[in-house]
Amino acid sequence: MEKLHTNQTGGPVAGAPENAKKKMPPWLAGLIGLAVIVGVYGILKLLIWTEVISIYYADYLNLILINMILGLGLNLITGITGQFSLGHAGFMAVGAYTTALVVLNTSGSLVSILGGILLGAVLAGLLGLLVGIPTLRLKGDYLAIATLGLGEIIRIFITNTDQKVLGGSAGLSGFPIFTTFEMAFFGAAITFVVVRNLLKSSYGRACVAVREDEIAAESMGVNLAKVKIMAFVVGTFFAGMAGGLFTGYMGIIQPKSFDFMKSIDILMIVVLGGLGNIWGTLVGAIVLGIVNIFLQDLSSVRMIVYALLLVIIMLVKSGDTRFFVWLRKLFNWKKWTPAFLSKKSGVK
Amino acid sequence: MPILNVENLNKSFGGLKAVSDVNIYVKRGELLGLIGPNGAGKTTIFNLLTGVYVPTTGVIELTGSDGRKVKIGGMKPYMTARHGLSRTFQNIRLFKSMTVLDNILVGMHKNVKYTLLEAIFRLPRYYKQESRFEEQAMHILEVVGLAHKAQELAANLPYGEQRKLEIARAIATGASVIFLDEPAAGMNPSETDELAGLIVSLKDEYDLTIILIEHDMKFVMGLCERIYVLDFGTIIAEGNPDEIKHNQRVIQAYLGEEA
Repeated sequence: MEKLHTNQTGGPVAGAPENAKKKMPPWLAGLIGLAVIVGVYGILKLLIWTEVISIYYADYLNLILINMILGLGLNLITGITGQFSLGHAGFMAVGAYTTALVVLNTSGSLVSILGGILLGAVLAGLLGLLVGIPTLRLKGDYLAIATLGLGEIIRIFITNTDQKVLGGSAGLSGFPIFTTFEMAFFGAAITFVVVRNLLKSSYGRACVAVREDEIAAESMGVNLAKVKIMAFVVGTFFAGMAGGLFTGYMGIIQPKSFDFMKSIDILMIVVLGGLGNIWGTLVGAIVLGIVNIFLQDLSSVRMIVYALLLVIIMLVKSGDTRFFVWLRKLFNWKKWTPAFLSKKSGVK
Repeated sequence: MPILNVENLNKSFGGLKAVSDVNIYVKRGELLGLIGPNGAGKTTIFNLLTGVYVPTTGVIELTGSDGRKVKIGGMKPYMTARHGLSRTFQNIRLFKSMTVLDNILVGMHKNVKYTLLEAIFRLPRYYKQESRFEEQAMHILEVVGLAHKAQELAANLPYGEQRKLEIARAIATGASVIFLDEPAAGMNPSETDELAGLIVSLKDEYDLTIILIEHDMKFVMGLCERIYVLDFGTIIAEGNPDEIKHNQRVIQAYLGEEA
């Protein structure tokens, strides 16, 4: 629905945004982008400093920012390039363990932390390259199963490796909580800018073309394997980076933090924000983050409510209102007419 | 000197011979027609020439503008595209959720010079080439009459314009040989006439060799300089439109043999 709307209004004034684009020189656009990022950082920092965002929530903000990085990386692979991956948590684990090992075995200074995060990202990206070459030949559900298996292999490999090296199922600990708000924020900002710049280039258009129609894309000279692997490597690189930040956020890492459910959580952020929509991924991470905060008081029924909320959110987002119309009739809620219902199915 | 030379081309799917012993040559700058009843193997030949299918046997040879010969049989589609072959599809295959302009720009992707890192860090080469790409793309859109719809989604174009956009996208690759698979399908007579004019003007402007499959005989006979007729996977006739119209085997293939 939203798509249709923008087109109807976008048609007649097609020339306008283009002219605007031409008037603004690239350095100015870049400067404005940078100013927005610094501005958002300043505002958030101010809110934390004045304790409008309490220490508890400020801590939670870091996790939301890390989830944004994960979501953006997966969105590039699944949303933009159309390659359904369920192994994202596995690549996150590679980054997390690499960073933990680097921090544990060095002085733990800022340089070694940042170096560890970078090394984790690079290793995750390399692994992405290595497994992407054979698996990205697969399509749709086959690729989903293959990446699912891959994620599990990484987790089980970590669990069963010598405890002295990777800590086994008990995991690794003994390093400080080193992820600061600055690291998480600028990590997310860098990821966003990279994915956005990629998307708005010939390479990004090739990615979308591969998602839209592989046969047509290939006939136009797009090397399918190369484009898919490129998207996969960039996406897994950022998964590794997020993993490193996650290590410093938790202070302890265990294999079970990177299981299949974590991949699903990331996928949820992407789907909630809209496949291929990078702004949506940011919103999706924030919404799911807030939902989780509110659910923390519910303890035992938390997962049930969370799952139920996801079903409802997805139903609302998909635009299929039949369930809600039925619900309204069943309980005779005459007064309950949310906007999305009246707009989409004409219920008054 | 043919730009494209096909010798003894065969393609079998299991026990079915879809294309058998096809010999075709295409002259540079020619507008060639490929006709035949449904299921004769026309689209299969297109798929073989553009790399979608791998030939069972046979040679497909492309002569570049520099006179060098390349055997393109069995190459992947993106490689044949790099050698200057491009196409449209019988059932339109546009990138539907992309804008009209972006569809054209995807066609140009194979000519991109800046690297991924240059795009991410927005180095000068990125801006330089993007603006040149956009200029060229807008020019192509102007020629096919879609410039005013550059920012619309491809899916929202009416059918006839989707066909035109597909042709424009094929040209945007910088191809020298273009395959059009039923470009006039589903068009009314006036749209068909307009399309014929467009194909001729595009051919002249971009110095193209065009090979097209079409069932609209008036369209084919009026447009093509030479025609191959295909039936049951073999070439049954070749010649100019007049010769084809009066060829007994062709009439038999279309109308059936006398009882």
